[in-house]
Amino acid sequence: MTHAVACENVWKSYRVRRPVGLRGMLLGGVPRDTRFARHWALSGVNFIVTRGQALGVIGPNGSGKTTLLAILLGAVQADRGRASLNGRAASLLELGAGFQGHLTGRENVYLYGSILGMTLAEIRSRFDRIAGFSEMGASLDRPLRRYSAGMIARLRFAVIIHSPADILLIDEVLTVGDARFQRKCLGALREFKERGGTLMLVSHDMDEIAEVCDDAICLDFGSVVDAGPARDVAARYQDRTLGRGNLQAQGMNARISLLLPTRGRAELLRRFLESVLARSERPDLVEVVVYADADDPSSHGFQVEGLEVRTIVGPRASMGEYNTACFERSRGDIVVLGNDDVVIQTRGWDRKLREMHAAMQDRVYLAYPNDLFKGRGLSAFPILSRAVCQMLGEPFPRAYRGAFIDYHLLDIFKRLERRGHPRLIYLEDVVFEHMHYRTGKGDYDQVYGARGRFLDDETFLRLRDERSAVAAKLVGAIEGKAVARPAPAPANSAPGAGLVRASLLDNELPVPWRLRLYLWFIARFVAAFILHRVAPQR
Amino acid sequence: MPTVKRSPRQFAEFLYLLARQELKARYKGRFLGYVWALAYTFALAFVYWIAFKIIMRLDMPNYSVYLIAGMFPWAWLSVGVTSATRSFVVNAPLIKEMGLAHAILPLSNVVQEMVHFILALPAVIAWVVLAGGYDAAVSWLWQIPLMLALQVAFVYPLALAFALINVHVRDTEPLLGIGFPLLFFATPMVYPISIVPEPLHQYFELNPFHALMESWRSLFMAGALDLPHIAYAAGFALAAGAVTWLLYRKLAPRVGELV
Repeated sequence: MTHAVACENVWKSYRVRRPVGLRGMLLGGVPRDTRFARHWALSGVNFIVTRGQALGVIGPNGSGKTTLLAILLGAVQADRGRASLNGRAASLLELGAGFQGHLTGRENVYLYGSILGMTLAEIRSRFDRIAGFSEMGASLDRPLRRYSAGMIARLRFAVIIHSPADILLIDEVLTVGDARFQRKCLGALREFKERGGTLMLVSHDMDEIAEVCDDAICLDFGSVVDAGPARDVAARYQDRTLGRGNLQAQGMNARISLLLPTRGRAELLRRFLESVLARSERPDLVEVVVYADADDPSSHGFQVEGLEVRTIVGPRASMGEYNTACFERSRGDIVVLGNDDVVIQTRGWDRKLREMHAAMQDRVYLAYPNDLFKGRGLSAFPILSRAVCQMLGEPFPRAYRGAFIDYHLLDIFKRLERRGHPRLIYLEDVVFEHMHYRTGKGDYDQVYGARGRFLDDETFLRLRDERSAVAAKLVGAIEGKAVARPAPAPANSAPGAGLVRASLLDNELPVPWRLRLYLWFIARFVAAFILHRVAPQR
Repeated sequence: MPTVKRSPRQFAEFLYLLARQELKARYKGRFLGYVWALAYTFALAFVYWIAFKIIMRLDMPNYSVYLIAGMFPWAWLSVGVTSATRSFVVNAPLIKEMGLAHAILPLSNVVQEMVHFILALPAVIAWVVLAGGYDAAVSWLWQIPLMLALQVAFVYPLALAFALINVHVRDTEPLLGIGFPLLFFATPMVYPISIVPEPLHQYFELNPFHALMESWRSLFMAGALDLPHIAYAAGFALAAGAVTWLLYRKLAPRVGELV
């Protein structure tokens, strides 16, 4: 075994406990999604560190770095996947564990060494070297509460670097000491590596990463969004965060296209467009492509000053055709499927989309905002890169007459997830509030009533093989390989068999998603049957 | 689960250092610190002596020895469990950063209280001999260590179990603060079981804490091991150990993220 550290498809979520409270319990009205909200700290992280190598871990605050170390240390358990350390490990994290204010520096060295697993004899034999490295001198016999933060950091580093560990996990602690001591630490880490030690270094200091580490990974949204030689990853990260380098490559000037089919809702349309304008940081980089029916003149030719709104007027058609027509006339790098009964509530939503877009180096993602209605459960307003749309061929299949496009896209990315590429990104803090009449925030109008509720089920099942094929294509794009289109499975015409094949038996899908699809369709069949009996004239 | 593998020797050293730093914090003023720690339990015993012997006119020979012989083991038990209950929450950084095997933390609390008890033993024995007129027995040299082992086996499962539960339900700690005084009076500690109405004896005898305390008192006041009570306390320790083991397997994995 040469792997010193291995992370295999590690997932971790934290339950976000939002107490419902007695009042909420009695009166109801707590949205389903917020009651048992889960925060995904890590989704499908993979990497290996070979013995004698140093891996840098970078990424913005809250991207999952500390959770990753805690899982490796065994302090926190992963929901799925396996994380293992193969060797004697020691860690130095931000919190300052293991040091006691009322003990002297000397006593703390013994206690800390013992926590790290050293015997008293081992500590005794190394004590002079530890004291020498820390440059404490006579301060060692003063109680620790008289030490400065920098002195404590020096002492801790001195103990850990002299411990017999052969794997070190270090989290943003070198920044405490002065510049000279930092250099000394970096030198000691390089020596440690030369002795065959394995190192994982979490840092916001890109120079440090580039200097000490061989490889690096960049975490964002709980996924590895970039990996490679430390110097390159650090440089790319710096370019993205500091706004240097080629803006086009960073994606921070990516154009956003909102695709917006509408009908008979001039009022709502105006409200939506105004929220787009009001909440955008760069409205000049946002365009809205509206599709209005030819027989609905009230929706034609909408303009909002300061926002590029283009209207396509065409015949009444299916939702898939509406979206496709809008998409074909859009130019943005980021494509968002909107709706007229939506209000964008997050100021700077466009910047957040661009940041996410920029972080996903290969642009393969399906992101969706928080609609305060379906929440994490459904990508009600899908956000895709143009690159993915092109790879999908027909991103919004014309055959879909209603809103099943959400399920279609979600299903494709669930297939990716199953193959170890979790690219579903729920942007919880980007709120596209859905004023659907069922949320009580909007009025019921004839547009809701005129929808065919059960027109798409069959299409969805029929397009199963297409989804399978495009998922394979996306996997190929991520892994940098061309993928032959798999032979389509023989068509099965037995009633209901399509559902079972496209849900329960579909081995390309994650099991929970299979069950959800299956139950969802069964419920729909039952509902359609009842509605048909109650109102056969429909 | 923990990343550091410890040899028995290293484990013992680690436990020693953990307990030592706590004791050092407690006995900050050295000699006087020791006196204060003793004085608290003696003062409490004095209060009960006044209340029961003088005011309530309890007719019992050597009542003060009865009190002292029970109250020091009780202090070990109650303080040990209460402080262990806090141990995961207080030492959150250790658990999170070092991936420390949690089970050692409550053990360190129990061992600290044991050290404290051992330090108090000379005073307890002096009281038994001087105030009670009992003879110090040579057999104590092996009987006392045996009782110490029994009490550790009795207290540690409770300490670990409550520490685990406290991570999930933080109200455990104040609940114990109420529970231990109640238990103290439900156990014959300040009164002999003989004044309890006869039909209730069987219920009082079911209390494993009574069995443990009675074993200590029998050791100090009769110089003999009270085998039936010791067997009962040991049985309880085994059962508590088994239950705690199951609880530990169930709750330990989530401790790191909840503290």
